[in-house]
Amino acid sequence: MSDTVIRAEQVSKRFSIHRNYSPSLKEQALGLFHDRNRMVTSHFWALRDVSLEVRRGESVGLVGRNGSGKSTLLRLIAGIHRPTTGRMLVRAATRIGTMIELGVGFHAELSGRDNIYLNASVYGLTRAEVDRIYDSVVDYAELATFIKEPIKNYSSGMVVRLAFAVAAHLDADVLLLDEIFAVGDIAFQDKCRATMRRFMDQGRTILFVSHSATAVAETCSRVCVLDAGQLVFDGPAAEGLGVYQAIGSQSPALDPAAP
Amino acid sequence: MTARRNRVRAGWPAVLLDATCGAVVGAAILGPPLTMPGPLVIGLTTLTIALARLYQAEWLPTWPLRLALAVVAGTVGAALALPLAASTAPPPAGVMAAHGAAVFLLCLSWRIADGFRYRRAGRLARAGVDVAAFAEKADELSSMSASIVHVWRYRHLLRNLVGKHLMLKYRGSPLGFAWTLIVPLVMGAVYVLAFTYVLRVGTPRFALYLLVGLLAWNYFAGAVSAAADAISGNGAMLKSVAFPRVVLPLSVVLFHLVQYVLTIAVLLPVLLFVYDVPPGWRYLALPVFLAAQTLFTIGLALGLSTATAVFHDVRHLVDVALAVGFWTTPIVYEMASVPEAATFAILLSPTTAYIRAYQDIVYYGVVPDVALWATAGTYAVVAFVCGLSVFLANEGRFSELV
Repeated sequence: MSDTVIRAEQVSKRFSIHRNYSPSLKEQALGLFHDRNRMVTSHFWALRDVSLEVRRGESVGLVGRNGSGKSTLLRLIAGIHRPTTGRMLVRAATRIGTMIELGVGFHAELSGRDNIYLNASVYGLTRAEVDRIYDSVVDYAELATFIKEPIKNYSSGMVVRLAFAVAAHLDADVLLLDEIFAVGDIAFQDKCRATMRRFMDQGRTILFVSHSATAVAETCSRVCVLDAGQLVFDGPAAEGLGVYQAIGSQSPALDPAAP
Repeated sequence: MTARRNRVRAGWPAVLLDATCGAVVGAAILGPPLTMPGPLVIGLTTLTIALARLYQAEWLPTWPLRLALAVVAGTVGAALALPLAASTAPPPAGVMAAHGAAVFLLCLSWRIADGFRYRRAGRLARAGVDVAAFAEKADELSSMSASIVHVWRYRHLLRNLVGKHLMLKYRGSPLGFAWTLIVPLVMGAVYVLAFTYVLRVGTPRFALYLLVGLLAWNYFAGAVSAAADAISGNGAMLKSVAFPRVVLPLSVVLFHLVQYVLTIAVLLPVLLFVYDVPPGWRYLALPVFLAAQTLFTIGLALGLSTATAVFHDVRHLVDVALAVGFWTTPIVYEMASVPEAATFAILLSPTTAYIRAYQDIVYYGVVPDVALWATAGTYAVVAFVCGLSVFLANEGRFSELV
């Protein structure tokens, strides 16, 4: 218990989906008078009663089919979404590094340098902190010669490299990673893996969403399998991947409403 | 444990609410008609209470006691302030009453929202969660923006966002910053031509009068219009990182403020020189009104960015309201030329107070009167409290709405 960093208690998340209309004041007003005009809203439970406890230094793989609620769970832990019911508790003063999307706040017209500062400050880094890591970020991204150029002139691979370089330098206690290995060439993916191993050696807590069984097997000691918003397995990695494969081989019925 | 949990520190809005109640009751005790601006009483009372720091005292645990104290303080404050205000002309009673009522209602709503937050904390404590060691993620996010401390933690994000807006605006255009001067000057020239030669308005030094108002209006309208999209236009950011969302509309307003200050810094000395306006201490009031206008704009920006995120068509309403606002504010016409019947309505227009204050200082060469100070302050506080509470109440939904 004292080691627990993240504790989810029967967390459920419901999304509202507006069909036919985009939500507008006009529709709301008309809806008062006419049932016909009322917004058609349906609900979709992305997560149902998920309870989870993650201890310091653990690396947990989150697997499941598309739309099973993996990303939603990461967003709830990060505090981006709020649970509809249940509680999501995170130990106080824990720095969470969220790599759900790379290059948040990047702007094509700005130089690589400006984008590093902007992107890092989105994660709450101060200017002095960015100054400290700046050279290391540029080295890591292997972009020293282009760093003053606007990133609209970069190739997409270079942009991803820059974005991951910043993410890799966030000094976070808990890392939330969402399928980051799906991008970049082989050399870059190797680099990502090496960075992951470094994080683990440093005793950071990692939650890792991936469809790649090999990536999960080599980094995670524990696996959580989500299916249709429910936690169906939580335990050793090898066993968990077996469960995931069994689910995957069933009819791949995807929920069309999944975000 | 239970006793500790219930000892809730009163937030500033709560102090303001109690002070308002105190001032209203205190003024009633002293007897109508109240010849002084309500906000002045409220301000003095707030100050009294805050200075005394009785608010966090153990022996004042319940709100009725605090309210009673506020009434006493309000009466004393009003009595002290009466001779001070007796020498100045009282503002229209209706205007002051409307302002007082607005402050009261908004503070009340804030107080209720506060109550809900503390009940939630109480629930957690009863469930046996060590609240000190664990922070509920959702609560952390909302309190993050509520406290200046957390926005302060993200001050570098704020600065980088303002810097980004500035860089994007001036990058790649050979004239750069000059565009910021050229646009209002051309607009001003067109208005001057139309009003002095076509409509034959009798205002002397019309260009000076117009530019003072027009520049301030452009700052306000530009900031509000751009900030309305601050949440709905940043979906990717909202969906992938948790940070105090207040930073987004705030950065838009501050960007426009920087632009306005730069414009003023260049144009105002030139105007003062050309029109031979004498210097004076009254210019010290300019930054005060600018600060009040900025607070007011931030409040509107917070409220409107929330509204556009929830209801997409509010965007169109904002543009219409700004077009109406331009003509219900004395920018191209003088207050004196407004018919008697419409004066009251024009005075109620929120931007009138700020624009008139600038015109008083620069064009008429006088210090703004008490009514202007009070109105400007009241609108700033009301808009800020209201906008922030609406924003914080919806902050948790932004990642789903956009």
